[in-house]
Amino acid sequence: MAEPLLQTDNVRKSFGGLTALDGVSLEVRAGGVAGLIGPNGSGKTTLFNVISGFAAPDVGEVRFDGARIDGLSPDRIARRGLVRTFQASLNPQAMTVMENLLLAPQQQVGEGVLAALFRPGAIRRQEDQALERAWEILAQIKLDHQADTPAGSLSGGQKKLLMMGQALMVRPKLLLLDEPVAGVNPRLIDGIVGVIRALQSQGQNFLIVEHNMQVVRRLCDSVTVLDAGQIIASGATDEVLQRDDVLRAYLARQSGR
Amino acid sequence: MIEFLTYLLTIIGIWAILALSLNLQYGLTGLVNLGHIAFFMLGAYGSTILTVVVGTNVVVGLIGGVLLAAAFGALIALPTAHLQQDYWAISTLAAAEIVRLFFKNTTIGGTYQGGPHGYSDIPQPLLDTLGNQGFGIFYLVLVAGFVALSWGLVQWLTGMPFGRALKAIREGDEVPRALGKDARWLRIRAMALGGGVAGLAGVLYAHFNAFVDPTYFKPLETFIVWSMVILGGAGNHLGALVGSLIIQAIYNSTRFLAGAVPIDADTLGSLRMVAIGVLIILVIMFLPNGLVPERVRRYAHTRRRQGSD
Ligand SMILES: Nc1ncnc2c1ncn2[C@@H]1O[C@H](COP(=O)(O)OP(=O)(O)OP(=O)(O)O)[C@@H](O)[C@H]1O
Ligand SMILES: [Mg+2]
Repeated sequence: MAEPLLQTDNVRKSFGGLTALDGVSLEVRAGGVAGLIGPNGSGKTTLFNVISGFAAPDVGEVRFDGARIDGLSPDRIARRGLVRTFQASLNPQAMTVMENLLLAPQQQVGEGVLAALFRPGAIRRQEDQALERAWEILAQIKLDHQADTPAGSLSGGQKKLLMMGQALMVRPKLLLLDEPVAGVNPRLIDGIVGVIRALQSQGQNFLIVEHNMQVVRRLCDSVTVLDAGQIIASGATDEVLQRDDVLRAYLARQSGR
Repeated sequence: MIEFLTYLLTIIGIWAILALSLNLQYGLTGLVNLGHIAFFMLGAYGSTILTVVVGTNVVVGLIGGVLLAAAFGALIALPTAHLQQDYWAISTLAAAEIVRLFFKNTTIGGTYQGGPHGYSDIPQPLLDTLGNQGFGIFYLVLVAGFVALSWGLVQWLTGMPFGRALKAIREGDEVPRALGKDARWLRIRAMALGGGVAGLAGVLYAHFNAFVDPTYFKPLETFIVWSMVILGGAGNHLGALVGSLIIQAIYNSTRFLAGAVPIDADTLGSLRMVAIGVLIILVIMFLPNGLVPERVRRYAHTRRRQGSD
């Protein structure tokens, strides 16, 4: 079998006395939607931080697309094709929805000063393409009527959608979404599930952290379960979600989901 | 009177260039640079040393001064990756004083040149041909041209994807970095570009005044540039121009007020700083976005066009 797209090997991460990740070895294969679930505080976001370069692992390796990426800066990892979203909105508040989306694409000629001087045509073409794509995405995430609204004025759910829209602008090799539908209303959740499914069928790879089990069932081909910094189960979604130990880990700490 | 007016407008123009450059660094990129006057000094001293000591012509002096200031900008941007914003701000203040004290304690070009003596007889282009009054007007036109050029440059950069990325890092690194933007390299470039433009102002000042010494470049001057940017409206380049006009008018008001009010010149001199201070407090309280707030680029109108084709 081919090498996994993303692989963490025995990753450990502690904060003072607290072990957030206790030897996590995760594999994400290309060509599907992978899920990462687990109770609050089980280390999902920390694992995202380690994978995306925002936190360095104490021990262990992270490999992506055939090369080690632990120790690289977040922006370099992103330029290699691994882009993540954040659980809480950190988007530039003073920038509008559209500016946030147009910020996202990589390899923008106009981000270089000299290139900007000598290649105005290339910049215009890129901007036009980005704009066209941004309007498509805005329609999908139902923000097309608020293109010129500052991100800071959006509701909590809309901010999540904006962040996801921004990540979709990039079309990276692997997209890490940290709770993409938390705080989003049910109607729109259906829309987002549809968008992710459609992109997946076009070859977009995802790793998704999500607490909404219905969404996990509908989206994820495979699921990994973290509990207290350790992987307790991993495999096809239907099978994993039926296992007793998974249900216990989940239900013991989370009620009503 | 005409002579004073050309003088005042020239000074306003030179400071407008300074304000524009700080607006690129702070207004657009959010870099709290408290050492802005160092760029001005490096431009002024760079060009002065080249023209007076080395003996180059003014154009070479100008290019040298601008490059020196730009290089310094890139240099002080390096630690931004490791320092928190507020610590970095303090370090810029210190860096500017180091530059000033370096020139105060170094004589370059002879015993009575440089150091605390400063430099006199800095060449004033075309002074001999044009005479005093002609030179004043020529220089005003020259400065106005450079103001227009600087304004065009920062305005153009702001509208570019480059400016958009700078605006993004103004509010934190996480999202830009997660998208693959090299935040540090963006900051280095913003500091270098802003530094170069501020250096240009310094060059223009040196060849206008024909004399510079280290007392011209104290931290107070940085405060004056900041007050221009805050009053005008951080992030709006037109605001930077408006701010420099108003602040310089207050700063030079002693000249027109001296006869008109019953206060002696010394007191009046100190009062103008009080006036600027009070004005800035009022602006921060009642007009936090300044007289000409930052403008938002709108895209709603691009929608139908995109949809129809
Ligand atoms: N920067 C940090 N400093 C100290 N402790 C941290 C830090 N980041 C995470 N932790 C701790 O690590 C543990 C795992 O946190 P993490 O955010 O990864 O959980 P999570 O699985 O994403 O939870 P949730 O579902 O609530 O988002 C928690 O106990 C948290 O308090
Ligand atoms: Mg989390």
